[in-house]
Amino acid sequence: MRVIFKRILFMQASTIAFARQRDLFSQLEIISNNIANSESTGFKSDLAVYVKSDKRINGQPDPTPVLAVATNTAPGGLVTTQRQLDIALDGKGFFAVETPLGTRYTRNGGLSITAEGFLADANGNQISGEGGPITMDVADAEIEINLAGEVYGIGPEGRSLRGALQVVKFENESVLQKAGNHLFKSDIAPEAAIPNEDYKIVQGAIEGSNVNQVSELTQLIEISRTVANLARIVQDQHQLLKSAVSRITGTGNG
Amino acid sequence: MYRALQIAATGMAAQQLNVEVISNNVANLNSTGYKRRIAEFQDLLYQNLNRDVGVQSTTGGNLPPVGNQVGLGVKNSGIFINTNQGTLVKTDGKFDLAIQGKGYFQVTNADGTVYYTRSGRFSPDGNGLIVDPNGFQIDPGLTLPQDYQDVTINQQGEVFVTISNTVAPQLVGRITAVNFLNESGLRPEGNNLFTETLASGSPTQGNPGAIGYGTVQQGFIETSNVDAVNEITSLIVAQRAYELNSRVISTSDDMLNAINQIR
Repeated sequence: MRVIFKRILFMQASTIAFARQRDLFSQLEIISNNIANSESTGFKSDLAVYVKSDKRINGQPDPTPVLAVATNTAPGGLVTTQRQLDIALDGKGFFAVETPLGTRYTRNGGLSITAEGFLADANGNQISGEGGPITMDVADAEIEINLAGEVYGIGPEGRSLRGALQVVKFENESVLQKAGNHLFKSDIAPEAAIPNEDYKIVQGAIEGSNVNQVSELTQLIEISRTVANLARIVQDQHQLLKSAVSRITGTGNG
Repeated sequence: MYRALQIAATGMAAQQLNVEVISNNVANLNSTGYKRRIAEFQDLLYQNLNRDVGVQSTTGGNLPPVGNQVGLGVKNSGIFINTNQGTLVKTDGKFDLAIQGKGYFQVTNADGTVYYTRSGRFSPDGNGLIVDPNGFQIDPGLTLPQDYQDVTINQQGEVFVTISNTVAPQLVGRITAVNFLNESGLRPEGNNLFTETLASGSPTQGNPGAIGYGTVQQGFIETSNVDAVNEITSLIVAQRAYELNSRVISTSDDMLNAINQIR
């Protein structure tokens, strides 16, 4: 079959249909990943976009579009948890996280404290403060994080400043690549975000996933129908070819 | 090709866990000193479809502004413990104690294992030793004299007994409290008990009422901090997310079926 597809121009409709189907399965993966992460803290949904190919085949423009994945960095809804160590970024920006592989960025403010007292993300990676990691004290009965991201411990010496959270922003958020485990990485250095102007920090809440379940479900139905339609096209082409062959050779009833 | 099915399966497994955590919260709606658990989720790894982000599509061609990474599903990042104070309920039990504020009671079982708890339903055993409902001794140990009439425990945890024929109450010991840097890192052992882990940090012992420690309230117990309305809402959200993931599986199946019929 593959040899015929390559040689007969007439079969181009089928090749396009197959290429399109392959992309639709990739799109299905993107949608299923979005749906699987519809309850993941600070998750940003991915969108399959088709761009016109700039390749040329036999001097002709490649008719099959190229699939690319864009991340929708729109904010997710705030979910109140009333946990002192849950914070959400209202506005632009990302928290910076120190991982063994380098600095990563996240919108997930579900923080915890390590055994050494450092403020960390759910995976135990230290959250960056303006002047290095933020250390809490065992005697801090309460933790207060204000709008500007200043972290206070309320303990024996009263209210004392433990550090300020580092919040960064990117001019162009499409430079961010997903690194898994709610983290993003970037080859381009970010700039500092300005409190009250770019962002506000909300304590006792986390940013939910920005996945829109209705639109994901609609896309799911759409691609499922398209795959079925494309299968029909391939089937029709097959019938057409079969009848052409039998008419030319005079075999069968065509 | 079958990645979509596996991705949806991770989504269903995650929501299953979410429902389990929620149902445990609901089941413990009336458990003394129970702290609400919250399951949090995060995305798994990403795979590049055919080129890395920032790579030119052709030599001298345009630089596509977007990549094509496909995520591989979801996983649980941890089950957080919401350590907020539960409501204190008056019981008038002489040995019912609650900590208002930060801190845990420390109890020791017969083989010397130390446990920490917020559930303060204590009682004296046959020898006058103060024990919890599991029979574990409060640590440091506290023994009441055989002929005591009444017991008063003040907010600082000091235990006074009134003995017949004496006027002044007598100080017989003190109930202490312990704090941890990371309470969420304690390991739940069931029966309202926790043990220390590497993640929780070492306990620091102090007197109730001292700065950084809560006060002891005699005649009260701390109820669970689970909010039924909150849990039911979370349950509905989890159920819908589960359904949506199962929908992905059935759609993937339909699509594979359509492909399968081409010949």
